[in-house]
Amino acid sequence: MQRGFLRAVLSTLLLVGFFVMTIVNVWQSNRIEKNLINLLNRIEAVEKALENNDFGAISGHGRTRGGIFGVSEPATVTAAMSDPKNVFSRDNANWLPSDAKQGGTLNLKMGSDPKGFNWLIENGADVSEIQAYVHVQLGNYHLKDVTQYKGELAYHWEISEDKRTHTLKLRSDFFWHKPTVDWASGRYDWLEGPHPVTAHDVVFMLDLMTNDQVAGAAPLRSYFDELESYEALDDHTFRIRFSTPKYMQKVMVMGLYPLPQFLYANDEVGEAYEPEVIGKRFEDHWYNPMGLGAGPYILSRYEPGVAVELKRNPKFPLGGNAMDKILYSILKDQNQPPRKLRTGELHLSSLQPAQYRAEVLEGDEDSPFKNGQLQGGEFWSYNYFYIAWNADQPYFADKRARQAMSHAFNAQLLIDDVFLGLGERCTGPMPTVQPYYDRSLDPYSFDLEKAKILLEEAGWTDSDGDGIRDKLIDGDLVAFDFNFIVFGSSNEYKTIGNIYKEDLAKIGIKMNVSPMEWANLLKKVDAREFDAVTLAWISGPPVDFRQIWHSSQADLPKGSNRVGFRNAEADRIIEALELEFDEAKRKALSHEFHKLLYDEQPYTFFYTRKSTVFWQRELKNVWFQLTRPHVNTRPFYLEG
Amino acid sequence: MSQPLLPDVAPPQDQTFGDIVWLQFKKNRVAYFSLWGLGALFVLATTAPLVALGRPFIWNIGEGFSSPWLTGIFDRNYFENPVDIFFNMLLVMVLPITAIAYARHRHILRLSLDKRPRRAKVLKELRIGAGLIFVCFVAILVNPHAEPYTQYADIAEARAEAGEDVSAFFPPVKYMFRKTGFKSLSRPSATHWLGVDESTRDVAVRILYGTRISLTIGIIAVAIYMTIGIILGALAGFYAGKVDIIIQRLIEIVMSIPALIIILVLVAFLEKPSIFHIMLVIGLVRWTGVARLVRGEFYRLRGQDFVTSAIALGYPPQRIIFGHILPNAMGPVLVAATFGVAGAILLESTLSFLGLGDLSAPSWGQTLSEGYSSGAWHLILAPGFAIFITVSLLNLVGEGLRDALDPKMRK
Repeated sequence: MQRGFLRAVLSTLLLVGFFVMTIVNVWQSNRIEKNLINLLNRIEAVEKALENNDFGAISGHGRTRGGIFGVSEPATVTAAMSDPKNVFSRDNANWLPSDAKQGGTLNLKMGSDPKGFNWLIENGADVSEIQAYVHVQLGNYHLKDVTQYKGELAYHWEISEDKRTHTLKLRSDFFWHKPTVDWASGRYDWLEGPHPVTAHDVVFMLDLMTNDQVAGAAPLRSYFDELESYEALDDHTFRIRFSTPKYMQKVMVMGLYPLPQFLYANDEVGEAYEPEVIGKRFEDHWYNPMGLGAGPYILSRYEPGVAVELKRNPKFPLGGNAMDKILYSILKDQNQPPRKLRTGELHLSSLQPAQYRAEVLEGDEDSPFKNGQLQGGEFWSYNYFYIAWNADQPYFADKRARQAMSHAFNAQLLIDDVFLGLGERCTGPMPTVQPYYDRSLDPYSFDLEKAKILLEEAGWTDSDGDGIRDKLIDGDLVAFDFNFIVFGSSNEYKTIGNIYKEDLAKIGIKMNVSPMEWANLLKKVDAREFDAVTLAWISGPPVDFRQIWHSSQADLPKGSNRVGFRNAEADRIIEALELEFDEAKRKALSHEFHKLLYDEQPYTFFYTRKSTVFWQRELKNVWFQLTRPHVNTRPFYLEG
Repeated sequence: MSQPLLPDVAPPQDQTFGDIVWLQFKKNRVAYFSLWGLGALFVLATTAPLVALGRPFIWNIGEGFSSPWLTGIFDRNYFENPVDIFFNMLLVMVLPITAIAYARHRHILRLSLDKRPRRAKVLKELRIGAGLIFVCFVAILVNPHAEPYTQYADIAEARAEAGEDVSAFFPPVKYMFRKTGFKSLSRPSATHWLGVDESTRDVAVRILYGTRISLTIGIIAVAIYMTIGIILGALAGFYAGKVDIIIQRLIEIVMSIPALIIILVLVAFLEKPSIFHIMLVIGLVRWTGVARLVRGEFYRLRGQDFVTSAIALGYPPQRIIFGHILPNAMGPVLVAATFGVAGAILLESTLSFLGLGDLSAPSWGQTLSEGYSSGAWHLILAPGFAIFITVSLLNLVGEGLRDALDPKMRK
């Protein structure tokens, strides 16, 4: 009995022992196999690196090529610079001074999660900023002169006599970055190899942009209405032709960029898409969470909610990339940046007005913002804030009602008191820093009596004595009781709403401030399901009013003329301006347009904001671009 | 055989369960005073327009006397929130209510009833009174009063300066919570005791009026989820079996989704989130705890003799559930409710803090949020302290109630 029991226990233990050993065995052999595969992959990678002679890039140290040191210019490029027909000219301003130090990691912040890095379909400011580092375009403005152009990917740009044909010669020393994929898995071997950037890639980009299936490219597409043809004459020559010449075409052609055909034309296993579906497939392409470029930095990592990491592209032929790495921490909390500036976790950040007040205006004398530990500066970007009135709603169909709204808006108080004077009152559809801005127009005064008179003229009276103005529209008595959409996560916008609401109540208008989350807000505004909304526009140096003000854009789904502004005179000026190449005449037309909008008040134009930026002392050669992204850190370098 | 001498004692008092609990509760001094504190908050909330309102009690600019104060507190253009209208109505009705209550009190005393029937009568009258107040409130809501938004203080000042005839008697503070135009983000001073917020409004007045919002949100949200929780919990506990299984699974489903996420999603769909939506939403996600509590109590009580005899007497189920078992199960539920009010107030502050509240209501969470993003300490301290006080008072009362209901804690 006793012995039988013991034996049973022993044999059970033995069985369990065997079982455990088997499991351990299987697990171990699995692990060894995996390690072996990894090792083989690494050896292969090292071999390839040796073959391509970029071992330095892999190890992170070693010798540097390209960059500011040893930038060599091909003879063709040098020759092209002296060609009088070339629109491009040599930019004597350099990104970096000759004594700049190489290396280091620059810590920046990003306020939101980018939805993806497909340059063509993502238009957010955050993605555009990354694009400026990761990608190149055909040409660009001179660093310190927005009236001159310099070559980037292209080095020679010829415009025909009739201004319809643009021929560009592309440099042959640009290569696409290596895509960020799981190379070890072997599934992406078809992406392997150096891929030069060619004219076919630019053609591919235009193919996609003109493809109606690519909805995300709609804003850009509206600039290419007169596109007649485009083609790659050879691997490095590109020609584009328009049916009628327009001023903005110059800027748009300069802003063209290639898209990697070897990547976007294929699905995840390397099979080419059918031409009929390529647009649709491109919109939700498997590589869209990442982005590929040929620029000074490589997009090497993106962790949503955590960080975007850019690595230096050692082979970039134009140089101007001193940092080894640029790390964008994603800080959705607006209050984090000043704290991280104090602790040195961020190298540079802009400050919101409230933060500027707390840290600089009311900060302690020995705070890093004042004692010299942090350096400060400011720049004017091409922006203007506004309140948009949906003219398709009964309240704002009459221009007198809109003018009344402008008179009831206490803009100067908001700028001086709430926004701390970090801005300038704006009276028309362009930033006050824009050279064509007409300074002869006085901003609408804050005058409630005048507003009341205008409202009476527009037919808004308080006929039923309930304190709210109303008007008989199509047999219905409509009360002036509307919704004002503001961005809910920002107290600045809510403050605009709160103060405006009180002033409007005094003239018998009821405004409901409805705070909304960003995605929801954009959806409402795009669908035109709003009465009024306060937002801002950012633009570039050349004036162009078609996107926002032309009547053809008013009925376009997702178009930017969200307020339904349809005015024949405005259309005439917009069209005339597009065809005008003479600067003086352009200025006159712009002033005319400015006056028209000043009178119509489709928006209540609010102000152009000045941005304040602070950075660590170790960051050198800090200056801001004239064009977007204003805080482009390519001139900066880290000392020590 | 000698007998022990019995001392003369009064016959034992007829003590109801409520009496015992109340006596126990009163022994806990902290909880007792907290209850008074809550009462004081309620009085403060109700009387806010007596302290701060932009309309004079009496107004005469040579066109006869009028009282903009009285019309203003029912004005839907001036007070956009029904919560304010309700409290204003209470304020106006304080005198008549006291008079009627006093008269009824005298009347009932004169009937010289015994304790229990008297109490039943008082309860019945209270119910009728509450019903009447509610009917008045609905009548005002359905038939809103509205008049032009007039700046009486400015007019009075302008007329006085021009030497014109004006007689006005204002409340001590001549504006209310929505008045803008002070220096943005001013620090606390003699004129603005708690400073000014980013939207150029006086913080002290906003905190004062915010008491109304917080108390209402707490009470109504809890009332909603108590109702849902009690009904579902009672059904599950009484019928057991399949009903229980279905309701239990429902509870688990609702519990498995974080409340804040549901609320954020629901609020995102609303065009104009008003505080009633927020109350409703809080009410709809928080009932699960109560339902479980009630279900447990019902399980405990279901087998007891008084229930068995009620069943034997052939009473209908609703009478057994609501008339017999529920009153015996209410103790723990009441405790949960007190804590729940505190929780709801905190949740509303969270929502406002996240920028999804009702901008027309002077909620504490909104001021707090402005303080957080602007870094102004006075905008953080004042509402933070108000929330702290209210939530602490509620929690202390809840704790006292819990101890008073627990027979083991009785001394």
